[in-house]
Amino acid sequence: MRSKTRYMFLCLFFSAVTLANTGVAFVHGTGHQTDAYNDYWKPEFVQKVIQGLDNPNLYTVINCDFDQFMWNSDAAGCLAASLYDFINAHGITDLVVITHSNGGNVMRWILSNPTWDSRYPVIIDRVRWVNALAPSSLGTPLANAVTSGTIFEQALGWLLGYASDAVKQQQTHWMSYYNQYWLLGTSGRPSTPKGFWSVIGTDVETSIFDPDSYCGGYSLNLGLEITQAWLDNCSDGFLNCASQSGAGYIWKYDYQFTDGDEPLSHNQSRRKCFGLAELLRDDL
Amino acid sequence: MNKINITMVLCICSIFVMSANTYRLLPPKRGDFAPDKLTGSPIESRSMNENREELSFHWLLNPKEAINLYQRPQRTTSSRYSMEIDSTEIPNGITIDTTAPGAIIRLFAVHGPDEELDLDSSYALLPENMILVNRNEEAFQGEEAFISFVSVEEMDEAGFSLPEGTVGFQINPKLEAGTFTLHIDQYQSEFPLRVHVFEKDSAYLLNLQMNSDIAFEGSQITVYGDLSPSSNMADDASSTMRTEQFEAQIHSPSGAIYPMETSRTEYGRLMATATLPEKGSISEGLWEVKVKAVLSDSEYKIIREGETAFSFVQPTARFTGRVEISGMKVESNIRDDRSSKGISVAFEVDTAHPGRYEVKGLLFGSSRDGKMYPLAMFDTAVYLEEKGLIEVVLAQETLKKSGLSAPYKIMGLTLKDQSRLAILSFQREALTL
Repeated sequence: MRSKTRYMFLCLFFSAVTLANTGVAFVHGTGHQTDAYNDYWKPEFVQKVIQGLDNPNLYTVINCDFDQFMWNSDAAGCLAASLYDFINAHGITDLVVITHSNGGNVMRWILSNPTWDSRYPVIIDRVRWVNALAPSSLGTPLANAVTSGTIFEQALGWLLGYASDAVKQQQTHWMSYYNQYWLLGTSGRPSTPKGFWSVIGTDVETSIFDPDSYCGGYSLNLGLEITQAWLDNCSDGFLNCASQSGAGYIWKYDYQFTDGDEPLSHNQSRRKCFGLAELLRDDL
Repeated sequence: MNKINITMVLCICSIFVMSANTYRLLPPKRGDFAPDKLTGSPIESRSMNENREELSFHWLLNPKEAINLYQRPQRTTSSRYSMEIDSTEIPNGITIDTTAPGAIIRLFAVHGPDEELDLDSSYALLPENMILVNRNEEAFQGEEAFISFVSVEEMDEAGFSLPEGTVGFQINPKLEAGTFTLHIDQYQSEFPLRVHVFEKDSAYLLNLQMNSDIAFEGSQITVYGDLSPSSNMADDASSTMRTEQFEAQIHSPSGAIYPMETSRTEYGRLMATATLPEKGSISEGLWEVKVKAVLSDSEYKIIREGETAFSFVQPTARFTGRVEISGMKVESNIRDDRSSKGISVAFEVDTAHPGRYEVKGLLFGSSRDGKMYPLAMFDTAVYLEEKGLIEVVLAQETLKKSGLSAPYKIMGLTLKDQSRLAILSFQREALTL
């Protein structure tokens, strides 16, 4: 694990010299979002995080179609356009990108493939670092399970056809290929040009008698406790810890900063639960 | 041509020689790959990147980074299988073979998009209406048999979308592994049932590994399989087990299926081979090899399905091997770059089709102790209509900042086709500067 502190001092130094105009972008996970501020992140989470900005207006909440493959123009193309426009519209010189789940892969696509699109180098230049909340860097066995039903059973294609391109991409053996040949930052591969720091959810706790189980929605957390059956002992209910820590640097495990050492389920790692928003706020 | 003109031409030639020198890429080594010939097939896919702008980018690397440039095909593991049970067989019970306690079962009725399961049969699929019988003919019901019941709605909310009507449960881990019979007596529907079995804690993992993650059109691919609890081949249990079934197929992203020939290696490993089509439809996404193996010994019947992925590549371009290097003090000492403005390395690329091609790689530099360390990652992409040069420029500022110096090496040299999202070649050690 590498310390983020050293990078913070460097950034503080350069900020002082260049009077950085700091902004923050929130990048959602799998799905086609049209109002991620209200639907994916929730206002109380975003508003708490942006308290860390000198100018709290300098934030953007991304709405793109992350049901597509990460390189698709509706995925990375849309994300690049949104970040590029945000940077130019506000003169952002120092951008912190907060991603959740598959949003980390789409952002890593941009960092790893700077010559794909002329906007990518500009974005990379302005990014301070990426705070990747529960990134699906090595994929998830759940994506394998969802898409595996078609083995020798093509007649079932209609039934399982809803597995989006993003779900297919997040199968563990597909991510293994993309990490090896198209993405940077995994073990043995060169690092991304800007830091990719992951926050890792390690468990799901649900009890109707425990108020903590209700943070982020009880039923969502209950579902994640059940999906843990398909996963390693260390998981957030959707991703194994190994996947979340599979690219870049580990910033924090949930128990290292949460109130009462509470674990963060995959749902809670995008919500104002147990001090996560405060951690991100203080990082700005 | 008069004497003055001849003198001018000679001067121009000598400047060119001093500023750009022609080199050859080093010979490929084991693990490197490149197409033997360019494709003669037309391109049927839409371009995945329409960008025509030449872009170049490089960044400094931490010299202490542990970079592994030995490309090894991925290894996948599986401890699951699935089966389809015809409605006429359901009254006899569904046989579920397990090799570890606590298998996780998912099942659903297979019906058409406009069809629905009748209420009685839906009710029958509730675990409280099922009976589980072990190999000693002991029957179990309720929590004695099943735990962790889950509804499809709960799973869907967790982001794990499953077919409508899916029922999921775990066989009580207190029950010993082996062959079970699941009785769903009230199921009256004509729809077959699809059953998925996942054995999280089984020691019997189907491990699959292909000969390469990148496969050119018309090439032969091989997938190897073994049944072992780890990657240690000495533990391969499959070599001594009886093979009851072993099938392998190639699935393209567009839905085409190609059979593979199956056999055993001389050491008893499972092996499947096939020759890829000369012309495959290039769709977004990866091709897959899907394998089903049924093996048995005196204690267990082991059923496993697994898959591995690869990229089907039309060889649309390749390096000719010719490289032009400029920007270094050629006449005195090529390894002395202190007075230059940086290094320009232009790779000649031959193309079969116009497209956006990318050259990516690592520059290693030397430290005072004579060892080589990662210095920078470079990346240039251009649109080529035909054979041309792709130039990588490494600024003197970058070289200086690194604290490393000549001799330099270009490592991990990769040629990509951004238009078709394809990796065309990789060379671990490409050039010494």
